[in-house]
This record gives sequence, C-alpha cells and structure tokens, in this order.
Amino acid sequence: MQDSAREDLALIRRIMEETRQEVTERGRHLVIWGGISTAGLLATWWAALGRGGVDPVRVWTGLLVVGWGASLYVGWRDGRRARVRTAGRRLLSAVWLTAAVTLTLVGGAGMFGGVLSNRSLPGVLSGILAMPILLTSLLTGERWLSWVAAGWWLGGAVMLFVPGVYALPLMAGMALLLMAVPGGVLNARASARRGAGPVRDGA
Amino acid sequence: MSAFDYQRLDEVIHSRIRLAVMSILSGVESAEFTYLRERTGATDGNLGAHLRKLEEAGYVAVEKRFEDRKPVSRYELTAEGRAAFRRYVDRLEAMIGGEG
Repeated sequence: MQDSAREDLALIRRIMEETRQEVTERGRHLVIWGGISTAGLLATWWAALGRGGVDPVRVWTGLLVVGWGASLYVGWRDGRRARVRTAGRRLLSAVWLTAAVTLTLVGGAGMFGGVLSNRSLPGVLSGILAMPILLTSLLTGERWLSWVAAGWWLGGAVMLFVPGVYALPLMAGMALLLMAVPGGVLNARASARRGAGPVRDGA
Repeated sequence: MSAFDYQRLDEVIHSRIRLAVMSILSGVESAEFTYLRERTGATDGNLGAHLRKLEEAGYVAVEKRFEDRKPVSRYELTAEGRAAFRRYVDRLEAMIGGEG
C-alpha cells in the first residue's frame, strides 16, 4: 500500500513539474527581438564609425515597427492556440510586455529625443533586459537563463563604466548570443516536450 | 496506516487517469480536452468517461464552445475539486510518513 502511495505521489509530482514548464513558450519573441536588436545596433555602429548610407533613426523606426508587429502577431496567435492556460504564462506575458514597452520608451527617448546619452544607452538597456530574463528563469525553472541574465548585467556594467563606440557591436553580439540563441533553445525545448508523449499510458 | 485508512482515499480521484487529470488541472487555470488526452495518453472515449465522473462529483467544470467552427471543451478544477485533491495528496503523504 505504501509502495502504491509512493508511486502515486511520484506521479503527481512529475506531472505537476511538467505542467509547470508549460509557461516556457517565450522563445519566438526572443528570437525576433534578438535579430531586430542585432541588426539595429550594427547599423548604428556603422553610422557611428562615420560611414555613410545608413540613417540609424530610420533603421530603428523600421525595425521597431517590424518587431512590434511580429511580436504582437506571435502573441495573438499563441494565445489563440494555447490549449492550456496557466497563471504563470499570463504573468510571464505581462513581464515581457512591460519590459518591451519600457525598452522601447527608454531606447526611443535616448535615440530620438536625446534624453539619454548615446554613450550610456546600451548599458541602461542591457540592465533593463536582464530583469525579464531572470524572471523567466524563475517562473519556468529554466535555471540556465539566470546566467544569461547575469551576462546582460555584466555586459551592461562594462558598457556603463567604460563607455565607447565598441559598446554597439558588443551589445549586438550580446543580442545574438544572449537573446536570439536562448530563444531558439527555449523553442527547441518546448517542441521536445510537446513530442515527449503522455505522462502515463492509459489505465 | 491501516487498510481502513487506505480505503479512505477518495475513490473518485483514485484511478490512474483521473489522478493524472486532477494533477494536471491542479497546476493550470484550464486545459483543453485535446491537451489532457495528449498528456494522459488515453483514448477519447476513455478520457471522456473519466472526465464525466469527475464532473459528476463536482471536481471539474467544463466550458464548451466553438472555435473556427470546431467544438472545443475546456476543463478546470472547481474549488471543491482543488480541496479534494489537496486532501488526497495529504493522505498519501500521511501514508508514507507512517511507514517508518
């Protein structure tokens, strides 16, 4: 009887842990914004080096429109297709929406309004970006994402304390390696879980 | 834990599939029938019968609607269902605790 109770409890715990991971569906947004940010930062760097042909304001305006359009479409489509609704998923959506609005406002204020120095902007944006990534790690149980968040804080600190034009390609590389790549990993892990089969054969 | 105590486990929950369904629903706000079928590995008919039993006991509530002209059934635990599941887990833990 106690063996049966132990098996039942183990089953319950495994199912609850697997169900908890259902919130891990944010990968596509990270891939979108990782790509957008990399392209925008490289364009800005190009212009900062004095090479002509690129207007960073126009580039960023276009990229932001594309990024927000793609992200809102993906969010709407995922919401319609979601076969399971969890409080964690709603919280995660709210966290990323808040972060995206804040990043757009701060980035826009810095670039278009001149409110923030262009020298400090990459560091400030990196520091803000680390927060939703750390919260994603905590909410989904994907602990490795905590190291990704730490990478953004570390990079942000370097860019704030040692400002320079190098910060633009550095942040572009971070956007690729610490945003787009983790997004792809999250997508792959979510797909693997969906194809993992049932928690237990029918009985 | 005596045999009598073991028999005090909630019979509505004490079935492999119903236990799996209750465990899944305890961690979410709601889930569609197809999701529960995928997670439990049960057939449509088998899962439907287990869900009806949970529904009749007042442990789950179902919302049925059409999406893109397809019928969609979404299930969630009721307050009574959550309390029953909590009691069930507590009793299992008590059984294991009484082992040593």
